[in-house]
This record gives sequence, C-alpha cells and structure tokens, in this order.
Amino acid sequence: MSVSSGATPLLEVRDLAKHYPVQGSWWRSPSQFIRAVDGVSFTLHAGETLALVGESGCGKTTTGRAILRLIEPTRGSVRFDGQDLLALDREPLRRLRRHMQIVFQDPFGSLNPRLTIGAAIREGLLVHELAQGAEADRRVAQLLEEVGLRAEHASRYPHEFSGGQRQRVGIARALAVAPKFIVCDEPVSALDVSVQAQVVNLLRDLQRDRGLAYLFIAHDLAVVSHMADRVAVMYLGRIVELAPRAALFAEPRMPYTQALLSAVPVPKPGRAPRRIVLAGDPPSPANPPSGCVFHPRCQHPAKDARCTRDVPVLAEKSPGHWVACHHVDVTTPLPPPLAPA
Amino acid sequence: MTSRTDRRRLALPLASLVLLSAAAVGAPWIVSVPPNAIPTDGIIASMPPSLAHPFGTDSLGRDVLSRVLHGARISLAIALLSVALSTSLGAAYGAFAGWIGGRVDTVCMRLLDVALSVPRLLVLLVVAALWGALPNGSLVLLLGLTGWYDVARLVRGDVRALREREFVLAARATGVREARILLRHVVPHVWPTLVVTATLAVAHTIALEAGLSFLGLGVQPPQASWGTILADGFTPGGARWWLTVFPGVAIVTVVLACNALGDALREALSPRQVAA
Repeated sequence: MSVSSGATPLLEVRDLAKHYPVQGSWWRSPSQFIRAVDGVSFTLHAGETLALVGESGCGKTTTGRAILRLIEPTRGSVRFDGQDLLALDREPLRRLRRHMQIVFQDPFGSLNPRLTIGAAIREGLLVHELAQGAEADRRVAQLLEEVGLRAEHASRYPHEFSGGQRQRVGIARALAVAPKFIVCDEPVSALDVSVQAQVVNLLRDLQRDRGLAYLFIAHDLAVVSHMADRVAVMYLGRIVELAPRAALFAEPRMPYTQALLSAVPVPKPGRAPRRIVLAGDPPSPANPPSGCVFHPRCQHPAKDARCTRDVPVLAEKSPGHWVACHHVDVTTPLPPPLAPA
Repeated sequence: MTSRTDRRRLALPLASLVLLSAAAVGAPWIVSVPPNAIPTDGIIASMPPSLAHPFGTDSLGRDVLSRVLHGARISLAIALLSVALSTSLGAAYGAFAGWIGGRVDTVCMRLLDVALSVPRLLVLLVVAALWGALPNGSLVLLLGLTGWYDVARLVRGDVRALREREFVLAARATGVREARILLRHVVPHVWPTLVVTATLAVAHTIALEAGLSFLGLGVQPPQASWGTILADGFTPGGARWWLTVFPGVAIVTVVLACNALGDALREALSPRQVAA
C-alpha cells in the first residue's frame, strides 16, 4: 500500500508498528502487548508538511520517534532519501541523523540544564564535523539570530530563558546540522497561545527559506490548519484518514475525523455546526477492538457486522483522500466537462 | 551555582575537615614526640593531660596527642582510599547496568540484592577472623570491595532516569555518539550524587574502621589509629578517660562534619532547573 501524492518522496513509511510488552518478566516472554503504533503508512515530500493529529495516547509521538529510530520499531519499513533506515547499522545511522532532526514538545526537558545553549547548538556541528572553533561560534550566532534570539545568548544556560525562547533554542539546535526533514513533536503545545503563533510562524518561515519537510505532530487543529499541507488523523495507533488539508477540513469522511473536527470551536456566533459527541473513552491499545478499531464509538448510520469483523484498509476514496472505513464509498470521478452543444 | 546560604552551610564542616586533615598531614611537625615512642624511664605512663602531654599518655607512656594526630593520618587515609575505590566501583557498575538496561540491568541488580543481603560488618568480621591481622592495604581493599553497593544502586537509578530524559534523546537524534552522550549528558548529572554519597561514605567508613580496629580486627597495634587508641583505653588497669575522649571527639567531629558537608553539598549541587 502506498499513500503518496506523486514524485519520489523524501520519506516513505510503510506498516510501521511499535508494540510494547506488558506483564512480561525477564525470564518469560511477554503475554500481552500495547500496540502503541500498529501499521502506519504515509509518505512525505521535500518541503512538505504532513500533520499527524489525534488525541493523547493515539501513538503520534511514538510514530515520530520510531521513524527516527529513537525508539526501535517492532516492524515496518522507513525509507528516507532512498535509504532503508531500519536496516542501517549504528554508525551509518548516526551519520544520516544530520539530515533528519526533531523538535520536542517540552522546552524544559529537551535542553541539558548543565550546558549553555551555545554548547547545545554547537554539538551537532562538532559531531558531524561541519564547523569548529571560531567558525562554529559564527554559525551558532547566525542560527540564534535566525530563530529570533541574540548572538550573545549563546553563553547562557537554559534556565535563563522563557519557554518560547527555549523552544527557539530547540529549533536552532535542530537546524544546526542543516537537515532536510524535522519531526516537530507538538512543538507549540507547551507554550502560551501568543507565543504559539510566533513559533508556528518561525517554523513556516524556516520551511520556506530552507525547503524543510516537517512531520508536524499536534493535537491542536487550529495550529494544524495553519501549518499543514496534508493531514493524517490517527486513532489507536493507526491512521484512519489522510487527506490534503483543505479536503480534510472541508469534507472529513471518516466518522472519527468528523467527530474530531466538530469539536473545534468556531469563532462565529450562531455558526457552530452540530457537535458530534463520542461515547466513552478510546479503548486500550493493549486490547484493541476487533475489526475497525473505532467501531465501538462509531455513529455511522450504516455500521454493521463487517465493522466489528474486518479491519478496514486505508484506501484512496477520492484522489489524494485516503480513508479507513468500510462505509465511505469511492467518490465517482467528476464527469468530463460537457461539450458545447 | 552556589548561593550564599549554600556557602554558609558548607563553610563550617569544610573548615573543620580541612583543619583536621592539615593536622593529620602536619603531625610530625606539630608534635615532636613520635607516636610509638616509649619513654625509657616509664614514670610518665598513664598520665592525665598536662602541659607536657596535652592529651595525656597511655599505659606505655606514649604521648596521646601524637598518637591521635598520627592516627588521623591512618584513619583518614584508609577511609578516603577505600571510599575512592568503592565509589568508582559502584559508579561503574551502576552506570553500566543503568545505561544498558533490559535483562543485563535486571541480572546486575539481582546480584546486587544478593550482595546486599549479607551484612557488611559480618563479611568484615569473617574475613578478618579468617585471615587474622590484615595489613592496611588489604583493609582498604576489603572496605572498598564491600562498600560500593549503595553507590551502584543510586547511580543506576540516576542513569536510568537520565537515559529517558529528552535532552539525551535530543543528543542521540543530533547524531552524538553513545560514549559522548554518556560523558557529556549523563555523567555531569550523576556527579552530585557521587560527591554526596562519597562524603557520607567517608563518615561511615571512618566509624567502621574505628570499630574494627577497636575490636583488634582492623589496624594492628602498635600502629596508631583512632580505633586502636580507643582500644588502649579499655585495657585492664582502670579507666583512663583521655584515651577514650580525645580519639572519640576526633571520630565524632569527622563523622558529623562529613555528614553535614554531604547534606550541604546535596543542596548546593542540585541544578537550578527553573528560572529564578
């Protein structure tokens, strides 16, 4: 299955899964697994932003980290720039890391409190032998200015900065090695709303200037509608809908996406659409429902026995619009324009 | 990184330890009488403190001040060396188990549980009883090899927590080699734990060595250590308080100062995570 939008993608993820053992001890193989990520596939092109959305615990962060092999995936394949990441040995993988970076959610935990931010940003330059000595200092100063900080901040420690400033440091650290691809793991959800906008705009400017590809993990749909080219919706470790941003927001087709979008407040009085309220909580990923993982909460009028039995595949229901649902029909292609009579 | 209150809390214990160490190192220049010199006339045996012998003399007429100062060299040296050994061992073992994780970690920790289940004093007593009089080098080895379990557990815990910290992940994502991550991003955060536990371990080891020597299983007479001087005060022939009080005060001072220093260091070395 390929979920692409033409041309050779920079990143191609197929059937990625991460299962965590539970109840296992060191002498006994585990009897149960938490399926944090369970068969995720998508592609990402150079310069593109794919947003990964979904509620807490749906496997967004695990997906991002498994792609970068910060977590070892249980199965699947990740092709980055023509190379199979999961087949790489430690040293080639380490070298390839300069092309793919990550910005973390927590601007407090992701910076070493005992290193100056200059040292944190320099580290990438040093370990990949991109710059040394005075040249490295110059590059650090340049990076700090590029993310909206001042060059003299390099000698300060993380605790001297605000959350938004630290997130800028985290972005500068990721940029230092001039990557092609950055996993943005909820980069703004720990920030104040006013600061969120600044950081989102910074990320967009950097993408425009440097041609970066982003995997933008988020749960805030307003931020996503501002950032993303395409949006993938995750539920219980799987992608249930993937579509270009405009199509997804205008015409969500998977019942879960419809419910998710209906929860977004509309800033116009009297214009609020009908709110779809889902019953219950998301099921446990240790014991996911049979068939379609969403079926116990699904409100689709056509829900039937098939939903509880067969896992729906993520299929292209209309050009570029992929949905995992038995009851979303393939849209009939638009009729050819009528010939003038 | 230290604030003014931190410095004030560090000052007193540090000063007393520095003073005591200086007295120990400078013992031959501070007192003219050698610690084991037995006067030939024998008249000055078991003398209470006087101007000539400020800490008095023992039953053999040896100067107790000289013995306490020279004994400080032995007691402090044994404690410092064995703690250096146990801390390095424990740090290496704990860091290894914590960093590798998984089954290796589980096996390492269960082995440690086994080692911990045997009381340290029992091991020391058995070894000393089996081998008899141990030279001081072996005593250091014995104290070092039986003293690293707690350090190992603490370091392992620290390393395991640090391993999951996002700045460690960030370094890995940047492409930093594992060895460099360990040295630059993990070890600096373990350092305070090591300094604090080592300081507290010195206090513990001083007391332990004094106890062993008092029982005749540690430092061997006629060599002076605080424990052997204490033991001399318990020989038949009546209580001589100066043989108990002066080495006793020395032991109590070092143990208290080390404990106070350890606590003050713990405060002073905890990183300021949040903007002030």
